[in-house]
Amino acid sequence: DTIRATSGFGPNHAIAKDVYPAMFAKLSELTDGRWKGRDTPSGLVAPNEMSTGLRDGVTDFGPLLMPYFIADYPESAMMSELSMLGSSAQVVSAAVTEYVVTCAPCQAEFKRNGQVYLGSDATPLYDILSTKPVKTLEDMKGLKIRSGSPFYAAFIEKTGGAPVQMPSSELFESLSQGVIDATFSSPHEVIANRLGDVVDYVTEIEEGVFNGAATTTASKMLWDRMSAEDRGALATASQYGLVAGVDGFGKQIEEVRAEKLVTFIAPDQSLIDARDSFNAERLANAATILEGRGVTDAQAKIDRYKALIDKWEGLITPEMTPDELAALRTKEIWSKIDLASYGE
Amino acid sequence: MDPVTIGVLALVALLVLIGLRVPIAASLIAVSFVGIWAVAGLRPAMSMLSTIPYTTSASWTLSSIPMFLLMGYIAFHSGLTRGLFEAARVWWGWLPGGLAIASLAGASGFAAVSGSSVACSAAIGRIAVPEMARAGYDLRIATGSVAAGGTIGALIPPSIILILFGIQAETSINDLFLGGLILGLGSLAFYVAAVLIVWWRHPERLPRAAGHSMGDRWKKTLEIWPVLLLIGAVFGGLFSGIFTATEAGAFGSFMALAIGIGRRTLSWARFKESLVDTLLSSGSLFIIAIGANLFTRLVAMSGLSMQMGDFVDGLGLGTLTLLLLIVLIYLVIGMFLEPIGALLLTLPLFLPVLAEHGVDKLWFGLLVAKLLEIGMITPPVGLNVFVIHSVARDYVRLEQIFAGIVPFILADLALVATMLALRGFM
Amino acid sequence: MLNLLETAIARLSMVLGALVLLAMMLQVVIDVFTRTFLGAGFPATPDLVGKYYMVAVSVLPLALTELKRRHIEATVFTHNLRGVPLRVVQMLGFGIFTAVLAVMTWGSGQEAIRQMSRGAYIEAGTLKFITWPSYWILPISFALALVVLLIRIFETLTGRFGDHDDDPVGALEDMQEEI
Ligand code: NA
Ligand code: NA
Repeated sequence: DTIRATSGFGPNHAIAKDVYPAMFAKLSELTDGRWKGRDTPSGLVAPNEMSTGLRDGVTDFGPLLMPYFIADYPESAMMSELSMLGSSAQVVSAAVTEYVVTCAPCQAEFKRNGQVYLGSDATPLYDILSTKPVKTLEDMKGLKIRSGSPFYAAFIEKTGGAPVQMPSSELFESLSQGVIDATFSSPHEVIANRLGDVVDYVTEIEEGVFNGAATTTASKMLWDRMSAEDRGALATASQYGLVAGVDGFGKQIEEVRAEKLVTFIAPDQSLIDARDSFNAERLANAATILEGRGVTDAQAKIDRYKALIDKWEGLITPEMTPDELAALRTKEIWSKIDLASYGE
Repeated sequence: MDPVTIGVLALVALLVLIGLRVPIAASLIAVSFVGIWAVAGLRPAMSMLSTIPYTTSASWTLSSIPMFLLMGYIAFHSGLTRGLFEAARVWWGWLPGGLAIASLAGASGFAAVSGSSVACSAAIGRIAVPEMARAGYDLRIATGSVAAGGTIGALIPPSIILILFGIQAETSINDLFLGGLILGLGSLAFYVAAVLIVWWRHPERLPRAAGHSMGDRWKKTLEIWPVLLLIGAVFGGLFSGIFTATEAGAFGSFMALAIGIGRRTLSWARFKESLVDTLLSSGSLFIIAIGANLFTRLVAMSGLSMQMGDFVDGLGLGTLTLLLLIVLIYLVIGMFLEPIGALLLTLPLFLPVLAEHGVDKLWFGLLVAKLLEIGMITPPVGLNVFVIHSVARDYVRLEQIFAGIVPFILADLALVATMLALRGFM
Repeated sequence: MLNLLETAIARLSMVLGALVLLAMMLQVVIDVFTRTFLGAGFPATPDLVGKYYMVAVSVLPLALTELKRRHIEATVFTHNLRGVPLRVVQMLGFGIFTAVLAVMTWGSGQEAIRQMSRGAYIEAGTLKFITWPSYWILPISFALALVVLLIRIFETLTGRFGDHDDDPVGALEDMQEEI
């Protein structure tokens, strides 16, 4: 049988280039070729249509960017408010995945939307990608910065900058014409979104990650077509894809550094201190913010997520290969799940 | 029935319905709905019809289209544009096809502030067409030149389509923009040549005005300071980074309104008329955009595009034959789909094949942008032509505009041939 | 009676649509102005313009557009038709448009109910920006257009619909006199 996937962000996006190919290769291997996958990277379901697209079987499989549909996923998208936790994308990706898989209200959210959650990825730590050098807290004053989430908008406001909201489709032009000065993003976007053509500096402030993408989400209609054994294979294969995607981001950043496409700037102590005090304050208020969104018993959930971050910080070491990482995620998360009843 | 057959039948059904005078939007939506139902089932078909009208129209980026339409209507109803073309006439009216050439140049100018072809046609259409008609120009060439001129809007930067190509094909957007500028000016030159050839064959379609003295000319030019102020403000704001290309339309409308009120040339009645005209144009255009978007999804879902990619790949053609085939495919795709959807749908299919043949991606990106823009003026679904029709439908039929487009399509094909010939030098 | 209904629909869509257009223009200008001179833009402008104004400007005029017979159609093969063949062609167009609008009214209505029940919102900067009401713009606009199309079908069946092809040259002369 064939899984009709829709990665949705175009043929050059990490999901189309790294995540889904690695996942489908592994799936085919684990099911002795019973299941294959075919991706339509663009033109069928746009990212902002993915939730209904998966629910109604327009596509079998796709990445779900939960912030687009935040009212549908208050519990599962909780971690985007805790973006400051975790020292690497692999740690965050594994901790978020384990959290959602083992969280009953999160599972209810996916069930209500006719979807089955199989894992999240995470971007590398975000930096300030800018057209002028930013080193000190003083440099942030009046700087017009695009922010993709409330977390960054609050940080920009706190440090004296001006947060600007705009769709990613306008980012390039706006940087190029000076409508904005900077954007919060991972440095891999210097290559991935061609931002290197307009951005000259990357200030390595390492402030948070984007962890709100349920990158491997299956339509319930696909799930119903699969046996428990094949479901297990798909869940496992998804971990191989997610790990490969995060690994791909890292390689792109290495390329940005090796080819000196931008100037990397180390922030001075004033900026670091501002970041740390913002993060501490934000973390202390996270429970209040989340309860405002309808998350019940938020502090206990935050503590559970913190514990998972600590757990994965201890498990993941820098020298692990992608295959070892994926095998570890399968063992730690999915081997404890009954796939005959998961997602039902 | 296999999905590819359904896809082909859908194309035929679309042609038949449009030919039978079913509104183009209704034809596109009906065929897409039935087609998706046949390929994937009723539930996905219902789902797409329930969500895509919202996701298509709920777009900040597209807001420049109604705003540029509004700017054009206000400028027209307050008499701003009349002066502009008076000036164009005293300067260039004696030239063969002078006003058509002035419109083309005006469209190229607007191309520098708008990122899309439709927004560019919207801005220039209401301004230029009535003035050419008043000067006695044949309506076909008058409307055709503006619809074609609009396509330059997506070639000269800023350009949404070139940015998308750059990201998807990992090509420098700065290089694409430089190439787009050259390509846009090249298109302008070819279109001007087309106007001159039409004038040479049928001088009666482009009547020349009498010559004017230099004093007359400067007098007329000084009279149009309000328009120059409008244009200067829009360009100045854009290039100094005060606003984005999306915001330029709203700012332009506001300026046109302020100038019209300030000079007391915009009465309350005409102001209302500008608003209603803008609504009527939006009402007829966006529902077609929704239909075209749905139809793109049907083509994606039917696997027709994938099949095409595999087919082209499997032929084992030489590079030139392959490129000619791809040109042909894009011309056919352009007849039915809108450019952004067509680009997203086809790039994953053709990029790998072309990489094997060592075709330069920058050159290919410019070629694709040009081909998709040709699709904006080809029947049966030609969005630029629809824009011009919606602003000029009181005195010109849709078929007449499509007839007027022919010389410009021939010019475009000549340009594409030139690009193919020049490929060896890149 | 039907005329009264048509006039009411036309008035309603004109007034609402015109207000939305003006609001869109003013808000973008104010956003640009405050961003440039005061450092921070008008909150949530791209979201308000995209999710509310643009949806309204795109679909609210559908009924008005049909009332003014401004929907774009190709007349090349049919403009010599008269009498019964013309009526058949007109009925085909109205019938298909009606069917399409009926399906879209129902579908977008279901979607609006779903979004409302979730209380859909997005996060714009540090604001919580409610989006669910914007989903109601579609079914309401489609339903208005559907009413107009049903009137058209009734007029065609009872022989009251006298649409003839435009007279481009005559219209051009009218325009020249007017200005
Ligand atoms: Na442009
Ligand atoms: Na076309």
